Amino acid sequence: MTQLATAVPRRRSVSLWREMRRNWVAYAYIAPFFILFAIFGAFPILFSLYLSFQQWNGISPIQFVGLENYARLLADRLFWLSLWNTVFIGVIAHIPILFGALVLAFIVNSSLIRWKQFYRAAYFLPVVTAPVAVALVFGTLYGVRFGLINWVLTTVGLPAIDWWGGTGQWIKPAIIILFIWRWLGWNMIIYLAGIQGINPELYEVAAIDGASLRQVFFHITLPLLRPIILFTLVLSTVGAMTIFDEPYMLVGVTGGANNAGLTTALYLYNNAFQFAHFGYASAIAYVVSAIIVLVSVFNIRVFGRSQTEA
Amino acid sequence: MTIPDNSIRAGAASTQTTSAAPVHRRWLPMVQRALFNALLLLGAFLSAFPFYWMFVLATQSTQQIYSWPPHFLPGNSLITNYQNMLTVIPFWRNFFNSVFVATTHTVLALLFCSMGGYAFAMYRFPGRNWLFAVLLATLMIPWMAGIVPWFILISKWLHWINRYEALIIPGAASAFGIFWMRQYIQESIPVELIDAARIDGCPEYTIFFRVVAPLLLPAFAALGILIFVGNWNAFLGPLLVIQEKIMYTLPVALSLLRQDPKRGFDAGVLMFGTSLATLPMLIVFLLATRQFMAGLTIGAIKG
Amino acid sequence: MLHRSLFSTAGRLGLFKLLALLVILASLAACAPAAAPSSGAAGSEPTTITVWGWPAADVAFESFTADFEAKYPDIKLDVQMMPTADEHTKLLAALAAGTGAPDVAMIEINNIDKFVAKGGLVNLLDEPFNAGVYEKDMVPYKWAQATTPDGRLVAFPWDIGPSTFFYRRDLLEQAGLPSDPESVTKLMSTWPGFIDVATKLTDPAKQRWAINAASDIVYSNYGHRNFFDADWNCVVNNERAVQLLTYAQQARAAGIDAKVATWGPEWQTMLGNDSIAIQLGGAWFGGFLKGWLKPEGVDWTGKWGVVEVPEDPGQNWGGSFMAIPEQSEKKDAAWKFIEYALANKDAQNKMFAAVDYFPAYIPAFDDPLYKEADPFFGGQETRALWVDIANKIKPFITTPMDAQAEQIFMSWVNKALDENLDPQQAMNDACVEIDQQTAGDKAEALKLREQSK
Repeated sequence: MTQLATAVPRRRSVSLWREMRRNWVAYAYIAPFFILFAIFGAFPILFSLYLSFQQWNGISPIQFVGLENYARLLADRLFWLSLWNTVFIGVIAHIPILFGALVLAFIVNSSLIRWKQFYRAAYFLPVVTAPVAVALVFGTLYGVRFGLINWVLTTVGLPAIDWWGGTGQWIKPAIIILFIWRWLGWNMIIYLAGIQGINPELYEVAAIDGASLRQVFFHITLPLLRPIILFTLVLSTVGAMTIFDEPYMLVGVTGGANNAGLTTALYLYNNAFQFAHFGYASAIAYVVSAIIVLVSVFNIRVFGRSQTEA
Repeated sequence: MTIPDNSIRAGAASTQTTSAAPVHRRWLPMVQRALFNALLLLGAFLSAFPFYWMFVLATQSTQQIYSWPPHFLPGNSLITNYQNMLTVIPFWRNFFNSVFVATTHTVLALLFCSMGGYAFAMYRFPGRNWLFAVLLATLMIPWMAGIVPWFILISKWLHWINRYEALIIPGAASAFGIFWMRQYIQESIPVELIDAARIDGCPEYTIFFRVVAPLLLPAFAALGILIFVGNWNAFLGPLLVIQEKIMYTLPVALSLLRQDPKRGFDAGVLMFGTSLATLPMLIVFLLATRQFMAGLTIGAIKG
Repeated sequence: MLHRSLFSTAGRLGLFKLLALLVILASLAACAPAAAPSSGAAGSEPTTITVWGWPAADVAFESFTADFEAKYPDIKLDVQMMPTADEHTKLLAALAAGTGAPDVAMIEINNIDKFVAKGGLVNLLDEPFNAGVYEKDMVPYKWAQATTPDGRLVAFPWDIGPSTFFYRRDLLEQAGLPSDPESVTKLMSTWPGFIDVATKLTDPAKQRWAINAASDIVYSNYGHRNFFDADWNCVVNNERAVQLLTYAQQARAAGIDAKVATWGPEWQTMLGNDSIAIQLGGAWFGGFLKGWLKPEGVDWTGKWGVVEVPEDPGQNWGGSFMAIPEQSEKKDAAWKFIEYALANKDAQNKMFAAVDYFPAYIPAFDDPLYKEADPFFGGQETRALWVDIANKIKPFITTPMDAQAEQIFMSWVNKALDENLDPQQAMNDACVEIDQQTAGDKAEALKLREQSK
């Protein structure tokens, strides 16, 4: 196939049409997808963007308010709190997730380990369970009076943790632990796949040069995994900024004591379904999206340099 | 000192190589191996423990679940929980709903995403980059943002309330899915294969189905599992569009168990239902792990 | 492998055909279990109306369904129960979309605001419902709560919740305290007295606490009301609230509360295994105690007693309404149901007897039922007590911003309890936040109020 037709200015539209007709098969293939996408994917999102400039409670007529929703957001203590909570949980959770997943993948892949299948399956299990189920089980583990974790703690002589009360200082750790539990395996599997795709010749060369395990890890494995790390980073960013199920199930719509568990997605849900502020909720969604885009662009810039290692 | 030995074929057990290390350093690998194994086992235990716990709780009564000290061994309320659950929800019908909806949805999604991914990967058509950028952009926007318009669409304009279509069709155009497929096809289907098919006289529009699709098995497995799981676990969407208990999918049906008219919050019944709902996922995953890993290997490499 | 052969088969059949097959299957299956057949025409054809609610409304309805069907043989009921939060989420979504709503929707007091100011529900004062004839028969503040700023009645009051403290007689006796209602009332006639009794009851070693949450002390006076004054200014930083918060802090300092939120899973278990001795609740709580709160195999008859809330007994917690969404095509039948159930002494009292939902329909009180002793409560005349309390309830102010205000208010109450903040400062901060967050809704509602003048 030749490259995209470069336009000749005067006859641009004609060659464009010809190009399109030549590729009619391609359009046929993407048509079913894009029709569905336009209806169920694009429309709600675009309408929601439109809504973010309106005030609407679902029933009364929609009222245009311009940038008022966004202005309100800037002054909204709870919004900034939810943003802080979300970023805090996201960053703190992802440090162990990404590093831990890398290290674990490296270890699992090493020749020192047998039963690779078993480990792969065991670590990936959490990903296939319903968030609702997971939160339910963890809810019982995190029980203040009857929880298993507190039982373990008191048995070894430590004080029981007041997970939900106090200033809510344990709510974020509870959510973070749950989040790590759920996503470590997913990232580990992806890194494992990536590591297994690295050319073994590189390792042989390193062995001849007498490189230590650590050197191999930092100078061969990591750089070659960069695109994959970027991939997981982008996915993680979206996942972290939109975390909803876990806090919702664990602490409910208000985010628990001191709103410690209030994430932006939870706040969005609250505004939409508790208070029927659909315009405001849409504004929240778009601010979050903007942040995701910014962070992703940043990630791509920093981690996305193409590598040329031999 | 041993160097990690990588094999390209996913799923193959790696072979061990020991280098010609001095004798007095041979204990190092053993210590290392013990350490690594211990670490991995600990992690695996932590990963799997909540499952064990869920299944144990499923056999206990609410009293046993909320008792101090906690009961570690299975209780004997399994049958009671099962019977109590059936008085609140038509579990097996809900189970069927989930299976039917998730399967159909997955097949549809795989079909559309692979077709679309193929087109993006193999053809250079006007608007290609622009369309793809739009897709990527939507990945960045939280789904919940559009939920009210989505609901209006489904209820008011399509009249799909309480019908299976509402659960099957909307998400089939998954941006993530088409992105994944494009990557996979780009990485693993050589252009020469397509050209060869053309030379052999295969009509353009059947190349995908005859030549390419059979090669996409690992990708189907990997993406299929993810889509299936996502649909199986969906809660808010089904909650909004389904009216009758017999049409509920499992997550919504199970949420009814949180506020049982006769027993309030019955933890044992809830755990039981949740366990039953999770089992198929586990089984499917365990059976398809090999394909899944293979699909991930290639699909994720140049993400 | 199995799926390999499956896929090669698919390859041979052509994925087109597979897809077509699936689509056909899907549409067939979708056709099969259609929604309940509904014939909207009036007359001799039976009509089925959908009623949404949460437990224990189904038990309540069962108490009079036979009579209802005898009077209206054409109307059948399709009662759908679901968790409270889910029901309101679905209702809101359905109203927003203009389709999918039931014919009758239960609305809880916590959620009535968002529906009151927004619309989507039928104005019951209009023809042919003419609910206005019942205004004099309904408890005034319930009527006001369901009335929009521009004078429409969008939901019909069902029950009120004269609040009381439910206490465990046997646990009080174990602590060496008298357990008959008269003595307990005397002991707990003031908040300091209440805290005193609570301290004697609490024994963490035995896993026993007096109450589940100290915040209930404040909530008893502020459940969904009185956050604002008549001009809709935030007033939670008034003397009374600060005083209550101080008492609550004292209670927390004395360690008498279990710090477990009401309705949580642990709360339910703790009530069941004697870990909580006193619980604040509306009259409807009695119904829960007799029903789903009671652990299996346990007999609670005679173990509970009921006393007023200290110092200011005229308190209310909870209560629901029933509304008709405008999109319903069976409004007539729906109204017949609502009228029969709620504006009717017979049905209201049947439901009260079944689940202790205290009617908002005043004529219902004139019934020997209310003088009966309740064996569950050790022969105490609980119903008379609730009537008494209901009569003591002073007029209070509710606004369309209450739901949000309450969330913020209780959040600050708990923060003050957990971090031992200065009560006055905490309530001032609460007011600041309430004003900020409810500004939008308030403006909207004020506009409505102005328009109707």
